[in-house]
Amino acid sequence: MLTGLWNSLAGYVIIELEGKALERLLNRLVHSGIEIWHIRRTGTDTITAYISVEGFYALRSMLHGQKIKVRILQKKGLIMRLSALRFRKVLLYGWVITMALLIAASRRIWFIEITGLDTVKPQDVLSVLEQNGIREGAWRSAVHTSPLGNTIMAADPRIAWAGAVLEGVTLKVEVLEAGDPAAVPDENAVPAGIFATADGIVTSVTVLEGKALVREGDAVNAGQELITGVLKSDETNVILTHARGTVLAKVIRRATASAGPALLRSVPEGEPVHKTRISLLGKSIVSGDHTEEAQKKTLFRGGLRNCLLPLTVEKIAAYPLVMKEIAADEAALREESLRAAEARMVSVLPDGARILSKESQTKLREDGSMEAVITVITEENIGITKEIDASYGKQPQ
Amino acid sequence: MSKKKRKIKLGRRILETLEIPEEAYSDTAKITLWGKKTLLLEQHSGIFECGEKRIRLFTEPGILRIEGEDLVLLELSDERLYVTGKIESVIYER
Repeated sequence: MLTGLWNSLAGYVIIELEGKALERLLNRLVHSGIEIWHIRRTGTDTITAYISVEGFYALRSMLHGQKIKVRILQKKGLIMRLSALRFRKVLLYGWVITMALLIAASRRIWFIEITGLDTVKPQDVLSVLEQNGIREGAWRSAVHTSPLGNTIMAADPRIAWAGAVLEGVTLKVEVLEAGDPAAVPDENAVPAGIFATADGIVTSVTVLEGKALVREGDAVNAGQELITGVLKSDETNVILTHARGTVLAKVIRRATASAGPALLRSVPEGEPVHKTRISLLGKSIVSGDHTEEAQKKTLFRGGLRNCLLPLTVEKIAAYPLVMKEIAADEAALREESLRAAEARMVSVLPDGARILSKESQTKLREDGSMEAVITVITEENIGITKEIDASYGKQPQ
Repeated sequence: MSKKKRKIKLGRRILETLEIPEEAYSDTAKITLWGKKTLLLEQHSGIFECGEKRIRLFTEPGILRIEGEDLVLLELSDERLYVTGKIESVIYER
């Protein structure tokens, strides 16, 4: 296979040998180490064969003085194809110019990818890069990636770390944003603690200021103090502070809604209004009042089709729609009750809550209505800051 | 029996006793046939006749005749050759 691949790259010729005792010539060629293959007898005195380019020149010298004729039938291989193009100068110049342009283009930066951004805008990082002479189209050699990260870090305090790497014509900038600034005690802040807004099981506690009273795995009740702002010290006895932090917990929430036994639906009622609709080139003209809230029924359709200007004429009966309570089937009641329960659940879920699991149940009541219960387990921040008594723990004067 | 022939015979007997495969030390032609389409001949000594319906090759045991249709010498080197086509018979000529 490799020999075949090499021959198709290096090129070979298909030849026809004509003469007597061709087998003797083939044996001589083989003993001389000349590559010849695909030998086929085509006539009493003729054979065709494939031979390498070097082999062909060697063969011609071997045929001197012998009554054997050699004729090229076909030239094959990449080299042969390329040599056929050597007189097409415009094509050659085109190739050279294209290659030169490609080489020149590959020495510049054409794409800038910034990853890891959350609060910092990409434009901010791009403007820092631009101030340092780096923009799309800049020379790759002008970019020194090692100090670039430090430059980006120094330019924006929100960025904790930055690194840059060149990959081909793409400059990849990776940014790590700084978290919340460390808690700086504020003497004027009102003393406060963090309390639970719901029952749950604590999954993580992050304290920025104050002292955690719960830890991961603890079950807490609504109203329970999670992070206290009362710090006790041996020297000063009590220090009051404004507690800050986040307490994430798994919380079970339920929402219930019912629907039925009758549901409010828009139904056609009354005498229909007859209208005519004419459609031409995808545009429609409807006669009479243009009422959207109506159920339409086509009475007649005709016109010209499969022609240059397709024209359709329709006779429509439009029934006015009125809202009415109608008896609904079980599937419709289930759908409506679940939709109402979901809407209720969405309204009670706090911002940033992550739903871990969800379960829906429906139950048909005796009166024909459907009750839906949706139970979700969320992971959410259950902490709420509440002021604490400033006189707490103060020693009597 | 000449001395040289006796020496060869002794060497062969030793190799046979050691159960070394014959192809490892012998110059005899080895023929491999894949179905009816491809034949590989190793240790040939040259081409005697190359035709579309018959190819005859020199080998150490004698002339090997391959008969069939559309026979082509697909690969040809000092050590081996491939024959493809509709192979009908492979025989040694007497």
